[in-house]
Amino acid sequence: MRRNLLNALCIMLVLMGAASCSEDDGDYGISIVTKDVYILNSGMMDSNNSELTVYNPSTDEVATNVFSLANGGRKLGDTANDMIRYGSKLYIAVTGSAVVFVTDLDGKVIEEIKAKGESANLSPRHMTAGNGKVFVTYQEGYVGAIDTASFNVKTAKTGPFPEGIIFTKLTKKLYVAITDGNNYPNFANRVEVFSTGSLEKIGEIETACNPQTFHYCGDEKIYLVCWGDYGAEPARLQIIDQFTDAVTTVEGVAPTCMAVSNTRAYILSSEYDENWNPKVKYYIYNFMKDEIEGELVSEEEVPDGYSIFADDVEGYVYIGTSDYVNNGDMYVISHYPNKPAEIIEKFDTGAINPIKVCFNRNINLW
Amino acid sequence: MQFKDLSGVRIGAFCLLYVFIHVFCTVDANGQNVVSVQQKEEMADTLASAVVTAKAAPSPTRQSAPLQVMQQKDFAALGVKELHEAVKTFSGVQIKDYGGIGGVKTVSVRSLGTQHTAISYDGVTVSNAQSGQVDIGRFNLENVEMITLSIGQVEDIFQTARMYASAGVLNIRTTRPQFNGSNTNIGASMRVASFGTYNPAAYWQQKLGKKWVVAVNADWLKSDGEYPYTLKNGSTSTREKRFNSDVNTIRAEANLYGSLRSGGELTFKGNWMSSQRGLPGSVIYYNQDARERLWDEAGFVQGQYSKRLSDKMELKGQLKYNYAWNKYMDEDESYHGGVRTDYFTQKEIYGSISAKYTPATHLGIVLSQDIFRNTLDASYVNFVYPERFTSLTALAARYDNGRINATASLLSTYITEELRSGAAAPDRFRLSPSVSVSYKPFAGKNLRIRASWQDIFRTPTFNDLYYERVGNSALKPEKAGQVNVGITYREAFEGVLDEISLQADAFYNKVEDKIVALPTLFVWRMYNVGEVEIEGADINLGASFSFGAGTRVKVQGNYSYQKAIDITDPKGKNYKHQIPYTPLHSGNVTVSILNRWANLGYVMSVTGDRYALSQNIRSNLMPGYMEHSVSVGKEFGIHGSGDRNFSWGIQVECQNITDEQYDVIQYYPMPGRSLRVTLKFEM
Repeated sequence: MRRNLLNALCIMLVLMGAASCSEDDGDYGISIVTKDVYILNSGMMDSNNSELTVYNPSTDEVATNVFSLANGGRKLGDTANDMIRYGSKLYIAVTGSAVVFVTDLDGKVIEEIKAKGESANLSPRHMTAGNGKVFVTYQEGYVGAIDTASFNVKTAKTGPFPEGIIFTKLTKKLYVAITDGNNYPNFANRVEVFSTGSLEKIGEIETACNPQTFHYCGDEKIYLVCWGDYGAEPARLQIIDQFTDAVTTVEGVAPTCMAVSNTRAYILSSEYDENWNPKVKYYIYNFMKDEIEGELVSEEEVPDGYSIFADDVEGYVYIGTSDYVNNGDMYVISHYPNKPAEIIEKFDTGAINPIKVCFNRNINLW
Repeated sequence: MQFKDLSGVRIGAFCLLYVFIHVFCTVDANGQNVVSVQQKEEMADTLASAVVTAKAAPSPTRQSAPLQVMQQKDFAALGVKELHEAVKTFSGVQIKDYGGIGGVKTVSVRSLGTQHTAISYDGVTVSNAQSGQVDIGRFNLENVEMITLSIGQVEDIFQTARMYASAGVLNIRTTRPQFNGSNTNIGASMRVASFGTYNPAAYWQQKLGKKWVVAVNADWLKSDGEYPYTLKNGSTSTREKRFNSDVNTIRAEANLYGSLRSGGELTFKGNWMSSQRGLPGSVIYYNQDARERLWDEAGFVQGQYSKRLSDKMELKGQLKYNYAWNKYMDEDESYHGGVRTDYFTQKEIYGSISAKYTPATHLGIVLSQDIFRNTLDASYVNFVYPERFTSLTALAARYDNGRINATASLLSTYITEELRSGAAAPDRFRLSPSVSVSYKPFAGKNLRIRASWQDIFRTPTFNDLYYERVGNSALKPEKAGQVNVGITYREAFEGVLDEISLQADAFYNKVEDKIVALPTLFVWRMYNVGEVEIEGADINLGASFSFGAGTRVKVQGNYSYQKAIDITDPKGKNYKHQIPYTPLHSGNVTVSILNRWANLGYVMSVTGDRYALSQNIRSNLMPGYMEHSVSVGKEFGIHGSGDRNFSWGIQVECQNITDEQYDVIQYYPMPGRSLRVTLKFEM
């Protein structure tokens, strides 16, 4: 819904901008700008060094240690994995610390949500929002529904080691990617379907091996990134029809991460060469034609690609990089269809492994 | 032998070689025609040290490469009971300590990485082909006579070839029974310590006729390990407890010593350890849930035989079979059935034969050949079951005329591996030379100048090569070059000051093709990419004093400077940054006071600031710390009937007396102040 609204606002903006470019008094208009880019750094496992960084694309200012500064030096915890903005709040899933932090847009903690499984604390992995709730997967094999008013969490069992989760906007279901990630090399190949109210399992969809994350292109088309088994079984891109739950596979794409903008998607693809040296490619993907159009940037320009995100308001692609040793870098790339991409900014993300980016927009009326 | 990129090392090495050859030839040419009184004394000194049995402690100041020694009497005087506590007082050493009694403790010298330091137990290397790391936490000092740490060159060339195969060797030598009149010695001790720790131990030693001695010892260590620590998070500070940190270990050893006079010397040893422990893991904010456990069953049998064939020829042989089984278990709902269990079994068969030829008084030549086979079984799916054959040949020569001593050695390594499935790592062959020399410039002064050079490597471990997904069978060995120059000085005096000693060394090390884990998105793999350059200095100072009435005071201090920088990638943000867990400055002081009333010991160690991760930034900084421990002990002798003497003793130690809260490994908190009491009875 949110993206729908943004799209509509963008169109309005373009139309109104064209109609009101004089500086005369009495003119009016609306502009939407990306005010803050929140960058979640995962840190290194067992190092308690997850941290939040905020980048302002209009001033290029980068604020690091945002979480600890907003919370009296308190640490965000160990191995944060996902973050979403829902309304005026940020939800941060910190896997190692087994906590979902709810903060305001300054990073100040409002609530600390913990859930328990049979005995241990549950470790949150991915989140999605819809129907006034935030839904979360826990690696111990649970899906949770967080009430955004009371912050109570209700859980239900899923298959082993769920990762990605998405709320189907037109059919109001939950898709949960089941990986069985602790059972190498026998990863799972299914998505489980849950109802959003009672969290009841209502179906199962067979997918490619090791399904990881879901991505919307518009409100209808849902892409699923599957990682394969890191061996003979390759990574695959699939499309799930939210009405029929039918799955189709896009040939010739081996995605690791994906980001979607208004007109294009961007796919980060991590592979090995013949000497087992890692290679990263950044593809421009046309989701109307379901084909790769070309490369956004090269590995020489952006080495050690780790995560990719798109800001459809500004037309920027954000690529987070990591060598897993040093602080990550964030590359800001301006891209318009059929034009060469341009790296317009690069900055240190203030911590290791920039794993997630979300945007906070300002709507200005004048 | 690969010299490239080590040009500095190469020049140094050739200089040393030149000195060595020069000295060698000069002496050969001059013979021993002109011998001064001073030289005679020195010769006597040298001969004395050669004739004395293997029990004599080597003199660190006479060594051509750095050597540190700690003996049983020092352990007692300082109240150190565990191996890692003793090693901690050495310079140039880092101990990675994951905290508590059950926490893994590994040792590395001069920033070269744990796998470059060998642990030898009564002359035979303790191996771990799976990880390359030996947990020194499994050794206590109950039955140990002496430990030595040599860097860059073995202290005694008459060794197995394997002892030449590491940058540093930590040598543990157990006590050989001594009988004063009676044919039986028995002893028992009980140790009680903080955090629910109990450690009873006993030994029995028996003379069997004139030629044989049997000795058995065993101990049981049980600890809750639930120690408190302070956890800081921003402005809040909470008092927490370490859970799942319990240990239950039984260790037993039997030795059979045979002195067959002209038939040679024979010893057999059997050792077993059975242990179960909880792994508390790192402290994770907001989630203190640890359910990992580890079981170990490990043992070895070894036989050693040595014989002097003639005045010029000595022979030594060893055989060993080593078995190590462990079981790792983790409870977590993300595993099928809520639990993951892995089993590992390592086996080693080892044989070594060494011959020492002494063609002239001052010269010894040793040839050693070792052959061993290592296997690893693991319960992983698709595991490859590696089998490794290693052949090591070492040729070493030592010249020592009192004024000058020099050692040169060449180690040849050949390794071949087989797998049950898949492609094994290619065969490896390497030559590793090492040279060292010590020179006494002034005849009347015990001042020596020394220099050493070693080109060594470590073989990739089974984990490096074949661990599921992560292993990379294309790995090359990790190379390490070491250069050391130093001075040593020792002087004995009459009066209150008995003796002073000094060892000061500067060193340069370089690690190339360092084996590190590197990820490509979410999947890790091992690569030969790291490069580290290490410059440093170690200074050891010692003094002992005698006051009237049997009061002796021994003070030792050492300081280490280590600049160990990562030079892997000039574009990396950590380029030329100090490598993790390596303080620039560290040192320690030990004081022991022996007197009529009681023995007092004090150990202080200081570690400077370190970084937990590669980048030298504030968020990775771990502040330095200072730890103080004190001990007081007293032995009482009771004369029994006939030849039998009874003695008993009590020792009390307070470790970390200032209750310093610190981590050696980040988020593995160390125990605060703790108490340990030992009662001992011997007859």
